Amino acid sequence: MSYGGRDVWPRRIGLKILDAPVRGVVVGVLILVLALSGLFGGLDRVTPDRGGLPVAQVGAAQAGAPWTVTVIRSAIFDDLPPLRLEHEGDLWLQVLATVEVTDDESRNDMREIFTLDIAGLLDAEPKYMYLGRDSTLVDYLHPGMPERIGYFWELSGSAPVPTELHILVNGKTERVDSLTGSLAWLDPGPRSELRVPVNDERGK
Amino acid sequence: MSPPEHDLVRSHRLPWRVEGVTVVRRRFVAGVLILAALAIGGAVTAARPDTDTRLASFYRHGRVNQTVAGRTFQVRALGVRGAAKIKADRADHDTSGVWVIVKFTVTARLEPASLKFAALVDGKGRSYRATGRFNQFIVEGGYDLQPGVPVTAEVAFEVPKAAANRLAMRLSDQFDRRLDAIVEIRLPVSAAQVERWAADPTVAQLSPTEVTA
Repeated sequence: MSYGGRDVWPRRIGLKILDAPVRGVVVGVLILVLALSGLFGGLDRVTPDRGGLPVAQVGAAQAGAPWTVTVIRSAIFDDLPPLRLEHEGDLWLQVLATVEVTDDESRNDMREIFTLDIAGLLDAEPKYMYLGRDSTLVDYLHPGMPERIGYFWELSGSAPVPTELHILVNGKTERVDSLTGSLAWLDPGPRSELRVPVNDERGK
Repeated sequence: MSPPEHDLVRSHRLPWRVEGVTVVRRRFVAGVLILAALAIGGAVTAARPDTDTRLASFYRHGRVNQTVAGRTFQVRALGVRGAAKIKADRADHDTSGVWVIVKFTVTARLEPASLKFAALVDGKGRSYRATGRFNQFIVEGGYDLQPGVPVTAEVAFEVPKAAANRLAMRLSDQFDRRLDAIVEIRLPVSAAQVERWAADPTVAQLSPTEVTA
């Protein structure tokens, strides 16, 4: 096709595409996309993620962000003044851990560190967090100053008493928030897991 | 009405029919201009400060015994001391690092204000909030400062020993300190002082917060 002057090849190709049936164009584009995707690895076989977390050991530090966590032990108590149970007959499930803030500033989100995989908790978050050093309630922890913390969850008295506790150790990622554009600690979630024997301290 | 003259119409169209060399050159120039516009746009976007930089706080720097004005209050640091253990809220509190205790006088300027942020910053930029292991209402938003009425207080911070000899205290009257003033006062602490504080068995007590005569 000519417009009175010399044909230019890109224009000729464009006009041929326009003249082609729509179905053919769509199929052609799809084949082109597939081919390009294949060139860059889009058709490679993918190994499915089995969802496995790194397995931590009791007493071993789990370096992470914004904290490094060492789970020391777990125990169950029936009465532990001055802690107050919400329901009579419930139990206290304790996790003792050393936590060190690896962020550059003091943090007060220590209650987000653990997720317990156990039925019968009244609340997923610990009800109390006590500093081992002087038994004060944990407020802020400071960078580079590891502290031993006792975490306490209330466990329903009707729930089976655990002999082993499956703990997920959570972490966060520091990145730019796509909503605000500010650097923030986001994407909280499990970064490792461990199983801890639960000492029965009831009646002691 | 006579038909339009062909050459006149042609002169208003894109030059498809002019010599091929001209067409190629024009397209090349257009392409270069588009790429240049994209590159300039990209450079402008890359050079633009990020959100945290645009919303950064404004620091008012000072030294001990110098009055430093924030937006709603002014502060004069009177001195700094340290300890290995502090008695507060009827209990002794030790630390894995060292306690740094800063004494200062703060005065609201034009309207009532309260301090809601106090921290020490070390030489690496790490920030240590005033301890929450015992009550320190003066820096927790729990003490209303009245304009022109100076209040003197001591506030305790715990920091690692290795970081305690290069410290500055930061104070603000806002929980959200973006785009607001922060008073920053450099603290004169030597490594030898830190060692002495950490080894001192005396249990320190904070002086009460009170209106200064």
